[in-house]
Amino acid sequence: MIGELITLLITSVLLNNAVLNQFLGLCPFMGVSRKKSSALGMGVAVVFVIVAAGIVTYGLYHLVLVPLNLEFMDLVTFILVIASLVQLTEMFLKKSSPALYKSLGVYLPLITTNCVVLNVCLVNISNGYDIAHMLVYTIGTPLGFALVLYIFSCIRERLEVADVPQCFKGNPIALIVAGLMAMAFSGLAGII
Amino acid sequence: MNKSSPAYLALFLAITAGIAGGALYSANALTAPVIKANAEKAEKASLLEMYPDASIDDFVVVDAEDIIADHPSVQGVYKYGDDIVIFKNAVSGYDGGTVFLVAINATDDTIDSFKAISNGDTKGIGSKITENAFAESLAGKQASGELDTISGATLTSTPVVEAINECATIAPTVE
Amino acid sequence: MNRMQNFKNGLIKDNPVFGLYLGLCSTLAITTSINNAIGMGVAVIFVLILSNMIISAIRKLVPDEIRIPVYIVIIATLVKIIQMLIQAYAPALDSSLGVFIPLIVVNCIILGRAEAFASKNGVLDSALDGVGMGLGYLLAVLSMSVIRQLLSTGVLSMTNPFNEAQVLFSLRLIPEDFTISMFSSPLGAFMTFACLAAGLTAYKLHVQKKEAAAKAAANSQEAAK
Repeated sequence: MIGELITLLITSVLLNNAVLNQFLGLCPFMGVSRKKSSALGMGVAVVFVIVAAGIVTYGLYHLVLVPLNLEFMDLVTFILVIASLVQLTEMFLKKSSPALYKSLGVYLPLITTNCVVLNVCLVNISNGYDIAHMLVYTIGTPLGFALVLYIFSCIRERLEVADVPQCFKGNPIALIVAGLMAMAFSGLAGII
Repeated sequence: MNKSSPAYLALFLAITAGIAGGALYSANALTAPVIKANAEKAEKASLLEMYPDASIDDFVVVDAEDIIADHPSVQGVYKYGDDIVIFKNAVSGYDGGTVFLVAINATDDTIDSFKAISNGDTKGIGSKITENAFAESLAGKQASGELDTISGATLTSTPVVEAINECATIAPTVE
Repeated sequence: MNRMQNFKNGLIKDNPVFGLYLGLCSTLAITTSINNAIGMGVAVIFVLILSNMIISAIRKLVPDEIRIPVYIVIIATLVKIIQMLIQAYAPALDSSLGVFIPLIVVNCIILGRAEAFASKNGVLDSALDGVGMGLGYLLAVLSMSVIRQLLSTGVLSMTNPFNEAQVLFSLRLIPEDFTISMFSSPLGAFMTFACLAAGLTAYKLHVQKKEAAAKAAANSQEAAK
């Protein structure tokens, strides 16, 4: 059991990475990664939102929707839970860390449309995880997202001063770097 | 009622959610039976692929509620003829996991046939479990004995092999 | 005139995927085959048109403070209905698109257009905007899939989404030994996307240069007069 959970943790952080393998969370990945500080802030915010949303939606699905035979309401209820949690995070950050709130700007409410959040909530259900697996997956996936986001922002800060062909400047060259990162990470597949 | 008061906002949101729920309920009522029929058809199709000469009536669906309660990876049990018990299993793997059918001869504990229905793991690595080579390597072996996994795809094939071993213990108990 | 111009812009110059970088997740994930691209593109167009029309129709009723949650509920309902329809009538599409059908809810294009356009314009305009943006998305995913499917499998093929067994067409253009399987992996996805995006940028720069040159020529003609 512990072995299975450790495998799941390593898989969700490194081997089946949310951004590089599952192609999730690319909009904030491209948008927030120009500076290391905002990338770090976004990573922490996303970890918090996903852990909270994952646990709440899991409980909501199994304790409310299933007994009432309302499984088809899963998408609507999940997204409402996520939107409310992001709103709460926004209010909390505004009070506790206004600098971070300002630097994240419009990308904070955009965590609602971050594919990783909804995906974690849906996968917890569709893979039929029990509570232990659900917790590991819900904590591991956003950690993987934050890790890759931070590394990517470090590279992008260097890219800003590099000599890039005109039509590749900005997002296209960043995507090529993301592809190279994906290739690098796929080399980790042998760990398990 | 003031349009900005929290009561009005909450009411508006509640009504919207209610209308959405109603629309989803009717869509669900319309599509759920079709989805169930599709799933049954797909299941029967895979059974026939394992035994192409059989007719669909040769397979007897076994009431597997107790088995599923004790062994969560089992999704369905069928009987074919007097000896063969077919198990449908869903196991997790690297990414999506594997859904497969294994036919075990209950009298002499051999694997009669194996068929992977779907595999969501890495293409070319985990997905090798769907290839003929793996099924052929299992045919005739002892279902409760040591079975070979796919080298380089242990994360995918080990749960499958373990599930087959588990089914071997259930097979003799099926009526 | 303005409507047609907006519509044309949505297709190439302001293409939501390659120009505005919206809806990236699904574009990279599902474009491994033409079937997936068309299935996803049609689903997105459907949701986009309907959500734009509904949101535009109720735009005067919705209180400003809760407009985002209301839009999200509407979009989520539409996506769930589409998901149930696909599961019932095109199950092959459901298994290949997988979790990306419900993820249409968080596709930035849909909420973005609802916020930016449908909440401020009439029903017909919003519907047209939905069609334009949706076709732009379809064009983007289709071009990605054609390249990726061709280079990674060597075959351009499509099967009937409602009847998996029926192959609509299948052209082998590259012999099997020369296929580059990298294109079905994440590396290939990112590379293809980057090159197509760079291509669009190059095209836009070219158009800009031409317009600037034409303007300069017209100005110098004026000065010469």
